[in-house]
Amino acid sequence: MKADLEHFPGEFEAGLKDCQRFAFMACGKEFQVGAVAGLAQLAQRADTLKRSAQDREDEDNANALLALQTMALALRSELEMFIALKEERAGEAWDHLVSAQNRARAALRAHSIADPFEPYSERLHAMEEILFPPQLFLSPGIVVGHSECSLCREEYGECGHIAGRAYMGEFCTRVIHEAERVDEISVVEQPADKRRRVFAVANSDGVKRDPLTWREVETGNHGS
Amino acid sequence: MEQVRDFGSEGWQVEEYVDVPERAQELGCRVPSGLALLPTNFETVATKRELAHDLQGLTVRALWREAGLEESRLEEPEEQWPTAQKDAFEWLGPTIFVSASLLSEDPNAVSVALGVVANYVTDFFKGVPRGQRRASLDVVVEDPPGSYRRVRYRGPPEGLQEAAQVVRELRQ
Repeated sequence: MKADLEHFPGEFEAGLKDCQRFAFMACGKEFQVGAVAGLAQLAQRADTLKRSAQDREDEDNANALLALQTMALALRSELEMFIALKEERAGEAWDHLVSAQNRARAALRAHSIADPFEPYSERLHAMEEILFPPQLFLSPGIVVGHSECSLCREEYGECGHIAGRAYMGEFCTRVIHEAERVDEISVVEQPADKRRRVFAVANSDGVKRDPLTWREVETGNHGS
Repeated sequence: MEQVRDFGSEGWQVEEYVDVPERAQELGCRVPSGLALLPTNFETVATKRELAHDLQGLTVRALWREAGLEESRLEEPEEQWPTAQKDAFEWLGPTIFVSASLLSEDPNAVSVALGVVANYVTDFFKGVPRGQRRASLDVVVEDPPGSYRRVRYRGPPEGLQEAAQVVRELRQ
């Protein structure tokens, strides 16, 4: 298994290149669908090797494989965005792009092996402005009574883990267990979570429209 | 408000701050010494029950522990204050308190405490276009003893690398 681990970065790079060539709007959808499947396999292979590294308590390799696995999933999300756009599922396309952005950033923080992908991550942010109209987001301000670390289940901040960092091939996240109250909900242009977008806006004639497609939406319909 | 470091319309600004030990006593909190995190609403609440830390304060606490720094807490041992979480793309840092004694006796600890935060924030924004990176941080400095000023930063994360220098210059 250790020999596999040594060869995997090269295998990963070749596999990624094969799929990345279809990450353009003009490419045929059938190739993009194939690349999505290929990236799922690549991510699965990284996951298998990561588990092996975890079993050996090899933290550096476990984190490197987590970074590669997460980057493969980022590219998969990007391709899924193109497919959704072609199928006129704009809302889903947006969600895929946000997933791609979040995964690419997470991969970059997991291990320095992902550093060459920093321009790719920045490209995903540029894509947001090129492919989608500006959006508005709902941003809640909440007071949290109790939250814990996803890795050791201790109160977050009291253990040695830091949210967003990788430890032995797993990301630390802060799990909120008790939200005491919502202090405010604001409309913002730059939220932490871009999936909390406004689904419908009404213009002066009272017609509600989907801010992504500008198509009319019916009450109760969550837009595209 | 005095501007001490200019990053266009953003940067470091200095303003007067409440007497920290007096305010802590008024609220029934432990009086901080050395390095501490002040609750986000420390200046404004009427009672201790309303106090809340910033979400990022908990991360800063973990970073200090990782760096081997000793934190002086306003809360009693085993007491857990809630955290206020604002949903923003910007990194909204907590309010850090630095006592006069720490500044004079162990200025290196102050540099390390602010440096680990700056490095963390740089890492936090990896993969985000530079123009979209924004961070904010407040540092309350006691100097001279019994006098409290707050330096507030808002701007690109790289500006946080100057935090220790700004605090040092405030003393001079």
